[in-house]
Amino acid sequence: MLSLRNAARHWTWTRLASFAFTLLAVAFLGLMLGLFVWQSLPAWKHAGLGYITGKTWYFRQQEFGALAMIYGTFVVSAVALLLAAPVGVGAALFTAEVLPNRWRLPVKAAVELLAGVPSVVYGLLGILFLRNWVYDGLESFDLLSGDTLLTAGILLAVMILPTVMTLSDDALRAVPATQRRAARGLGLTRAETAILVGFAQSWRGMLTALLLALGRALGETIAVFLVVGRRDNALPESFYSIPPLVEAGQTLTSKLGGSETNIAYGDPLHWAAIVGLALFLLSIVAGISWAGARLMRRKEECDAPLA
Amino acid sequence: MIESTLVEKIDGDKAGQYILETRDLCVFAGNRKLLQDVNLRIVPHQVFGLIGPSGAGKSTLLRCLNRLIELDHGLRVEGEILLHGRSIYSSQVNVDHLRVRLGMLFQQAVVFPVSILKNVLFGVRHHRAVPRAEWTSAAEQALREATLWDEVKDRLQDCASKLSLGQQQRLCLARTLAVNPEVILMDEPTSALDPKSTQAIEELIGQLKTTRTIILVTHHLGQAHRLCDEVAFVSNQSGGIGRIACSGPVAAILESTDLPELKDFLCSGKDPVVTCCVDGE
Repeated sequence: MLSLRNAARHWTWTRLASFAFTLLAVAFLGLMLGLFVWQSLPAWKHAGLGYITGKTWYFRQQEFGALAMIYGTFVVSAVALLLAAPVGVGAALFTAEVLPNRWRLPVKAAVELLAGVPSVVYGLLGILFLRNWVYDGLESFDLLSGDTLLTAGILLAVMILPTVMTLSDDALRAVPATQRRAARGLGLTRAETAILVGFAQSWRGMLTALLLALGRALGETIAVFLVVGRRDNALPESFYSIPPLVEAGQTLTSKLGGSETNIAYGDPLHWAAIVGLALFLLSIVAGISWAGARLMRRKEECDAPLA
Repeated sequence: MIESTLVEKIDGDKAGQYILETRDLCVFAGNRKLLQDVNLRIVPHQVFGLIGPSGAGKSTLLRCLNRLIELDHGLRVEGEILLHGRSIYSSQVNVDHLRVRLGMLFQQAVVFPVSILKNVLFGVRHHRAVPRAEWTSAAEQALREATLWDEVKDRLQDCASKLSLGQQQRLCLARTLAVNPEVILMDEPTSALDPKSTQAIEELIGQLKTTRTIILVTHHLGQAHRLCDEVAFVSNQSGGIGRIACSGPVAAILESTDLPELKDFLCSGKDPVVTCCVDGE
């Protein structure tokens, strides 16, 4: 049996070790960020703010404007979220509020398995089916091919759907059963209870689920790479124009995953521009993850404003 | 003399005046019987108590009365429950409307994480029985009826969870009263409260019975003695199956019985109001 002194020492070592590993992780992240900032400095010096707002990217002419890629990333993620949010939340409402436990758990396990499917597999399915469906379905737009921002968005929606659904389901199930029972005791129907108690009290968890899914959507590379078309400088004439959505485009990740990254390594300025894209992507994903984590932690007493 | 069920206990001339009646009510969990042949008749504007040991099925019986038991998967109800002489299991009965008529107050105060006002109006807002313009006055009336108005009238927009446990329980009662139920089912509503809050709830129950019928599950024999007009003793001594061992006017049940299982239960109570222990030994 451990003496108290041994227990204390054991605890101290555990604490020290965990502190050291945490410090290591933070130091690694800091080092990575520092490296990216340092490596991308030439691009910022060369283009200034135009690096973010510039509409053209011609590396041979040393023009590095990332706006089209930022736009592509935004559009693809927005399409994915717009499609995945209602379906995922709706499915979660069904599994958490309607499905009996003996069915809910197998369904949830199957959905969580879907989240583990490698993204390249989704990409191949996208090439096999989705690309053709988009091409045939949007015939009236006279598409050049089925590789479009919309195709990438739909594919991403399918990919993030399990994340949205399973985290939303967890958020709904975290609402105490006593709350539902009290609502049913007041004569509310099952549907009213699901919305006014379940949904109203778990909206914060659902929003977190959407943010985490958005983080995944923004960072997804290979599946998007395979179906997005990878056309540089595809920007709409106006913000509301539809055509660029159904045309080939480029996202930050598809740019970084392409062969240009290998070419760029030989030219310090080009390389700096490429690393700058990675830094930008990393910052957005980190910001979203931070917001998600903050939202999850924050729990207010009156937390059902929708009820 | 204590009869085996309330059916025999109540005078024949009361027939037809019962607000609630159970006939051969049985509850099953799979193949296991939880409650057997429960026959009760409850007259309006009284406090009817359900007493008995833990696990005897009092709360299960209570949840049968407004069909809230249907939320527990795997439980099956047989027999009949009549509200004003009409079966609550009839296909014409809307179960959600039924639960409005038979409101429920739980053992633990369950307030929703919204303001005090929204809590009171939670049922009212969604039943649309009260016009929107009258919501505030409906809330005030319910809070007054629950004797909570004076304590919360200046902070109706505050979060309900900031109230004390006793106030939260009265808020739950106000929320139930706001939808204007005929019967209020109370499942040990004071078991988690301090003596002062318990007294407040007890006084409230005494006032409420003039306008409503109350069915009260309680372990507290003194409380049953103070509040109830009639009680039924739910026993599970016959193979763990709950049944009504005896029922009748509260004084008759608590003060003079020769039923051994009831005597065991009464003697195990700490309440000095029960004298049968002394009488019997």
